[in-house]
Amino acid sequence: MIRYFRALASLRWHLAVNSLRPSRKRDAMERASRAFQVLGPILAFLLFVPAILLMGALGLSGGWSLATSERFLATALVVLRTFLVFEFVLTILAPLLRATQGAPPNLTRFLLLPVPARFLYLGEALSGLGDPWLALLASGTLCLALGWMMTGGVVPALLLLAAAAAILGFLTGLGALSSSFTHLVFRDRRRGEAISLVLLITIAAGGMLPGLLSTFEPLRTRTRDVKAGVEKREGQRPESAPQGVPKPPAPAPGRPGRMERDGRALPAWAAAYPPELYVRCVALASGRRGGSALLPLALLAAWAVATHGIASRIYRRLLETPEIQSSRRGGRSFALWGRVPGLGPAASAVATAQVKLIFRTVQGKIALCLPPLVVLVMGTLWIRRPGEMMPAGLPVPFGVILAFAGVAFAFMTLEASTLNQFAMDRSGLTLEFLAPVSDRDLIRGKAAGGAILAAIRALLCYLAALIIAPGGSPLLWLAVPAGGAAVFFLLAPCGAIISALLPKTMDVGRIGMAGKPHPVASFLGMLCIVAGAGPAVALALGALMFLESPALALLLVAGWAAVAAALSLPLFRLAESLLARRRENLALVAQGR
Amino acid sequence: MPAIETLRLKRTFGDLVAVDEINLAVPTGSLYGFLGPNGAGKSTTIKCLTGLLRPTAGTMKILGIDPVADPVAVKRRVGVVPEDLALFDRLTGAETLAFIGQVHGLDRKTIRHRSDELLDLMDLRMAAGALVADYSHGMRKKISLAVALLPAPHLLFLDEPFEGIDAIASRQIKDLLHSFVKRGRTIFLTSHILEIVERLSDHVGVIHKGKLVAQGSLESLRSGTEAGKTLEEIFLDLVGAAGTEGPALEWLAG
Repeated sequence: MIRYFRALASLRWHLAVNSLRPSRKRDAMERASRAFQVLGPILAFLLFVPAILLMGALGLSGGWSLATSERFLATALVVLRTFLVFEFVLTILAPLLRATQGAPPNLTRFLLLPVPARFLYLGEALSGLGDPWLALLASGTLCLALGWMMTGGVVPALLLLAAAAAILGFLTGLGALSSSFTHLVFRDRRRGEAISLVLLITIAAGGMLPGLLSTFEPLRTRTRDVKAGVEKREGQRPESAPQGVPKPPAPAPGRPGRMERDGRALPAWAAAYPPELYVRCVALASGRRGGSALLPLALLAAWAVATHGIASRIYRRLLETPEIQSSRRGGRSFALWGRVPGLGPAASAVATAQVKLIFRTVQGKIALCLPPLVVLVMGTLWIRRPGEMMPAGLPVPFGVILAFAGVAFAFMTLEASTLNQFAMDRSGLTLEFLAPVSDRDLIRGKAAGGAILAAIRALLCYLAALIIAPGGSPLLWLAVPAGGAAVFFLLAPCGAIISALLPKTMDVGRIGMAGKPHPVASFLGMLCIVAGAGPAVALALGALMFLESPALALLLVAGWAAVAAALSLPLFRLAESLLARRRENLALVAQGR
Repeated sequence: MPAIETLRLKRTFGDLVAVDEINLAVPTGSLYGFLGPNGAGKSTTIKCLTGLLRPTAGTMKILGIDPVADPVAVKRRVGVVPEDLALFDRLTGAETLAFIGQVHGLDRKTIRHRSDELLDLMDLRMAAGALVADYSHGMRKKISLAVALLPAPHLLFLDEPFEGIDAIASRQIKDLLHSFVKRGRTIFLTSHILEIVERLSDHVGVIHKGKLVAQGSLESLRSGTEAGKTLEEIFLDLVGAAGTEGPALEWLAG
């Protein structure tokens, strides 16, 4: 059994280390770019080791303190509960989020190995301990027991050690269950993408909800009024000693539904909630009630066994049918392929391909939905709390600001298709290089594709702003697309230059780092957006503040857009020459070599 | 005029000489089989000829045009099925053909007509609307071949065209290649399956460790060796692998 685990651990280690190794065929620029990319993982690893040590030290001192005094128990229980809630949620969500970021692992190779399925499952489950949050928990909980043992309390320490093993067993089982279930769902590409889309939009919308709900002032006032009325009826009393309300009986430690030692009332379901079972073990051990702690410990162990039992069944099912293809839907054998006005056939084909490719990815769909949603939420916040959203005395109507912010946001969502525009095509880039497409047509096609994507996203934001916060001079509303054009004229050629210099193997179908351009490229792209939008904003504000003329504001912004257009011409030529020089490297990087 | 002509074509990667001053001469209207062991430099040569790699030294002429000086003109006249197939995962098969048609400046009617015929030939009609990402390896190979054929090229570069293709499609493709050559067009193909090369090709070139060790018609290659030798035997002689024995692997008997 040990040799299986040694082989699996060695496999994971080598895969991790080799992912940092560059291919021999890269040039100096590419090697420097890769070195920068691997800095992140190396730094994370370097920080991870001290974090584990620190957690162990905290566990040791915590165990020692709890064993010698009950003063810290309430604080310790709060910290433990909070920490375990994060552990619980992360363990469930991490595999799901990982799956939205990439393809599930190829299990066929594992299936072909002469390793029994149960050992493969154990390897998968134990590998969960390599996740930073579980490694931190393992270090903390095991050292907690060790710290207790150092005071001479062997029985409670052994109890805590068993509880630590049980909670780690439960969480690794839960992680394996979540991971196996996620792979089962995500192995169908289409189904996985649909789930990713729903999940990510839900998370994004959920993030905006608290801000939106906080604006419902009448409800809060009403609640406050009701409270005030109750207090008035009950008369003036000190807050800490309410009268007329019977005090709950003193709780017995470890009994759910009663008051815990930290003063919180726990609901009845907490009796079966595994992280709470661990907390109860700690609380009871601290109260020298080791015998009573055996029940929660047994329950926790039962949870661990049950989750591993279910997870191993699902994992086995996954192994039995490791690969599944999305159904191949029939369809038209002839695709409509319109010509983009003003472009030659080759550049037009490149532009259309780019738009189609982006719209078919989860990232592309999110980028289409999210910016108008943000504009709508911001607009709603402004309607409900106008004073908090905009500084007083600003001469620009909020709607125009919102529209311009939406347009700028739409440009930011273009980062994948603009700042890594060649490598994002992956194998398709080779097809473009093999086709009779000149460097100029490729650059122009990519820029046109970016323009179409930006225009669609920006238009949705613009319309959302116009609907939710209309008003102000129409000339100012016209200045918004002019400002957007200025941003585009700088971003398009600079994006091509950045893409040629800092390509990164990328899959636009993925969310997260795998679907993002090079970090330096993202930073430079942001600078381009600021360089395009900054002067437009400054000129418009200047015209409005000093001359109060929306017409002049429009004229100045349009003038800046013309300057940006003129600047773009030599930049496009530079991009062409860079593309010609770096074709081989781009093709290699695009294919992930 | 040869369809492909190279003079001292060389490509290096750092210290590694992948293609070492080769002089290729591929006659127009021939089916030229380009053979070599793994890592001999076949794919690097094809990449240089198709403009994916810039040669370190030497000159090339493809259909009489210098691909370094005028790459687009060469690409208008050639079709390529590269090693990695080079397809957009998120375009459908039909869209991929439409993309290539438009890049070559074909009108809609021509694209539709040629796409339909090619999809029928490759038995891909039912999967025409599915994303290439959902295709099997064989289907990807077939759509890549359809992409190469759609613009009606004068010269086809095929890197391992029969790998992963079923017997029926393989037969259809062989017939197609024969009729392609009969019309005066040229095919430059690499394959590890020497029987196929022997049956299809009229000219053969053998590359070994970056050097072109033999080139010519099959008859001329055979004439220099013992009578009755197969292409496989000639190939093994040329690359120095004939008669060499590998490790005994006696532990396999246990």
